[in-house]
Amino acid sequence: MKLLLTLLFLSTTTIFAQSILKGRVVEKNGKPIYLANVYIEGTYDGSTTDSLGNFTFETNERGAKTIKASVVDRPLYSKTIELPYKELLIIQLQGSENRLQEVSIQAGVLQANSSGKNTVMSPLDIVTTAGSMGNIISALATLPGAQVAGENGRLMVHGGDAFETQTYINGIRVAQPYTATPNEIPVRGRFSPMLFKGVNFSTGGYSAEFANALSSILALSTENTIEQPKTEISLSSVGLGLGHTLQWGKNSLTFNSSYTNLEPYSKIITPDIRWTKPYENASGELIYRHQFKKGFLNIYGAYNFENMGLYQSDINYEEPIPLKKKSNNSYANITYSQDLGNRWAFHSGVGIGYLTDKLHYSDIYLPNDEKSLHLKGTLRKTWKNSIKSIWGIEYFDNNYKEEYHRQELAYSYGYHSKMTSLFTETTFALLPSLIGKVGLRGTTSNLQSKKTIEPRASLGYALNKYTQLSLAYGTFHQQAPSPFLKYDPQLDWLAARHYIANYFYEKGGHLLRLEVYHKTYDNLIKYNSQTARYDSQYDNNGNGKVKGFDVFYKNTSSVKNLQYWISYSYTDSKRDEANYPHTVTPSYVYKHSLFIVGKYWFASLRSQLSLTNSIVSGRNYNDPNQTNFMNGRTKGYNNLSMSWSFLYSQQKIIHFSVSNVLGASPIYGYQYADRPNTQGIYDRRAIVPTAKRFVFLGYFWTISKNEKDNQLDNL
Amino acid sequence: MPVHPKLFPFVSCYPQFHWSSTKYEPAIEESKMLTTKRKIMKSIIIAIICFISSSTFAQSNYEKSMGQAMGLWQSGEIQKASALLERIGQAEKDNWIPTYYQAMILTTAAFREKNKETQAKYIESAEDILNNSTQDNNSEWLVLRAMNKTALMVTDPMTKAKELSPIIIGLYKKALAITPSNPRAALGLAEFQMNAKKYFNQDSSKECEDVKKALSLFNEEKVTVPFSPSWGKDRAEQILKECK
Repeated sequence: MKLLLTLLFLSTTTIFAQSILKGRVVEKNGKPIYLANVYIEGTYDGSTTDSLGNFTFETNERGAKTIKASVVDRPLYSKTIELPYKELLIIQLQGSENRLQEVSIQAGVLQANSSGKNTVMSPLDIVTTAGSMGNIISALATLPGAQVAGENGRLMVHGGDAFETQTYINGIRVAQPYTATPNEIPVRGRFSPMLFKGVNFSTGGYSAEFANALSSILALSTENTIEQPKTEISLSSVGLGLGHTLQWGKNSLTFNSSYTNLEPYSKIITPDIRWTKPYENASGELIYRHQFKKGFLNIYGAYNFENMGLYQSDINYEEPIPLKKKSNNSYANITYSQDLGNRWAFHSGVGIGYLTDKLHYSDIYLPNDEKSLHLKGTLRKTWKNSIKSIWGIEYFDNNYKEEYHRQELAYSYGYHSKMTSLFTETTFALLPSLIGKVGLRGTTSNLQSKKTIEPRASLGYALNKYTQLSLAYGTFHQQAPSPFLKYDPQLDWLAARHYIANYFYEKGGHLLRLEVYHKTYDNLIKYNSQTARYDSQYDNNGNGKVKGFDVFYKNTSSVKNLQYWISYSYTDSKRDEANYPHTVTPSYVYKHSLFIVGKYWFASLRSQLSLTNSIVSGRNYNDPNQTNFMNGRTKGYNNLSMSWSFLYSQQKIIHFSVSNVLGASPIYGYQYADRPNTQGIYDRRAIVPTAKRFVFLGYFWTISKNEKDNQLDNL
Repeated sequence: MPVHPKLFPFVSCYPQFHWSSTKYEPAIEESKMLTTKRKIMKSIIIAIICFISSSTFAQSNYEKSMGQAMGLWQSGEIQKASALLERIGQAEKDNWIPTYYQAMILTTAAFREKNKETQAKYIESAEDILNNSTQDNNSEWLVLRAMNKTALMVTDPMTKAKELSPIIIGLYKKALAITPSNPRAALGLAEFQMNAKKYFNQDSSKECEDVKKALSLFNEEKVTVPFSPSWGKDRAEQILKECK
């Protein structure tokens, strides 16, 4: 009893020892913070602030104790005080740290990834955009600043030529991103779009991490996660595909194979091509991933075989010319990344490509092969969420050989380029709403005598949560493209300078992106013959200027189940290059291009209808019958594509798409005869699409192990 | 004390999802009763031991505070309930239950939230908590991870369902593999698949059987640790009614 009384006494003293802690949580500028969680570390004692930032709670704690205050998205506040604390405890939170993730630099950036923030499309959009036919490149063409030339399918950016864009997978260059096709048949991206979780498409001003591109970077990334096991089967009007993913422990292995053959298709719907061997493509892809404790290994290998034969029209010959082409392309891309601790990370990679192409054109035999190697290592470091840096070294080796055989005549030519680069870039938050990025890249090459130094800089400023302004500047160099470099390996670096300003607004399903740019070119390639030939004289005396603007608006919220985007680009490109006698707008540039893309989900039909309408203005062509150079102008045209995807079940999708529904007959340009005819007139032939429409019907079936039934049977 | 009925909305998975208006009451009642009993017991001996054993004192404080948190949750004070659970969680470092409820409150709030930004914040905050790798083999924790991913998926099912639904199913399956008798894992998996099948007008009688099994697991379930997750039985019964 005595003991009990003593204990009771003790308890009362403890109760008397209870004190009240009162205070306020405020911003640096004194503004109260609502719903801050204030407590004494390791105890239950604490409270949440009211709308005036006030808190009050009772505590039995005495002596030196740590007070914590936690607010969403802020670093945890911590302070030691002596309890009981009689005064009002004012907790002033530091202005939210200058954190890099709050502002991003949007100038020249177009992203498609699944995170949803600051992205213009999702990876799925690439497949479901009508007219894309599952081709990454065609889907990107519906974005501002990008154009795809109808007659060759290659991506052109901000008034630049097709070769000015480089493609990277996980930071490693892909030397041959396109499929092989004869002239005037559009190429496709070589890689299946569903492999990539992130598409980062730059229209200029890109990071110092990327080299050897004058206009643009297409950076594709696979996700650093182990894949779920599944099997994918596809059947379509042009071929079939099979994919299988295995997963064990921290490993996953994916095989993808596909076979395309236009033969059955060309028998049903005859395009304007006289095939002798309808296009055939067999490809296989393999992806192995391994998750280490602090690292990730990604091995990507692809093999592609293409074979085709057809008669190609040429104005210089009365009869169409027989053409045969066979091509083999192997590519491997191995990347490894490791977290070194203390916010250091290491990334490295190797890319190896080997392409052989055998082209027969009439009596000309033109075999070529290209071996490419890219080695890259980078170190990254983040300091305090407000500064991050990257340092890197890389080596590119490109060995290109071509032979020309015509009857007894035979010669060979090519180049072997070895290029080493160092680069560094630092991104830092100047203010919570202002970030800057400064980068520098230096390159030496065995072919070009001069070293290049490329400074690049950009700024991003958040006006508010939804609006960002950004500026980007950079200088860029690129080797002359293979068609010229193979004849003259001594050609100097081509150079470009970008100035970009960008406005980006995103709120509640509305996205508006405006971009204006100015780009100058120097050292463009010129030659002195009608076409680029082995015996032409080449020099670097060309130059050019492009100015333009892009408007992009996307709406995903106004009408339920409807999303649409409108993309308009104005491009004013003037170049003195190739065999132009003076500065003109080149034939590959569309001055105006407008894309309207809409996708509507019919819930009751479990179907998505997608429409893409593109309107482009006419392009220049040179008519040798006229005195003024590049005086001709083709008509603009309109192309409406549609696609219908039906979700038969969770795993089965039926996809139907048609391009050029309205049957427009665009003329891309004209081929003029090399010599005038007997009346002294140069004859011409219109370059038109090889088929009026393309119809695709496909069935896609995913068998995911995790979606099997009967999962509860073993309970 | 029944928890707010709408706190446990369950959703179907594919593009168009619908709210279930079904009452869904996490069975805290049982544990509450347990708590009350203990409280009476304790009030008898409290004078003797409560100041000697600080841990016992903490235990009672734990239950009182957990009760408070549940009360706040019931009255719709999501932020305050979450803050209180955060405080309990940091005081009881070795107990996963407070943080489980914190993530649970945020996840269920995300399902109901109309404002996209707030919704994303709820999902992310819950995800941060659920990423705690020490709980990788906790069946209940995995069920909650699956629910969190479901909340994320229904924000944009058209783009996210393809990627997330195998992950969600994988989480439920792992939860079942760890604790085959976890009725919430069984129910969650069955309901997720049922909703997908309903969407595609497929027969879901197989899933109904699974829910029956889940219900028998609920009947066998015994709650020994106060506040350990025990919700879900009513939901299973409700689904079974719809099955017939």
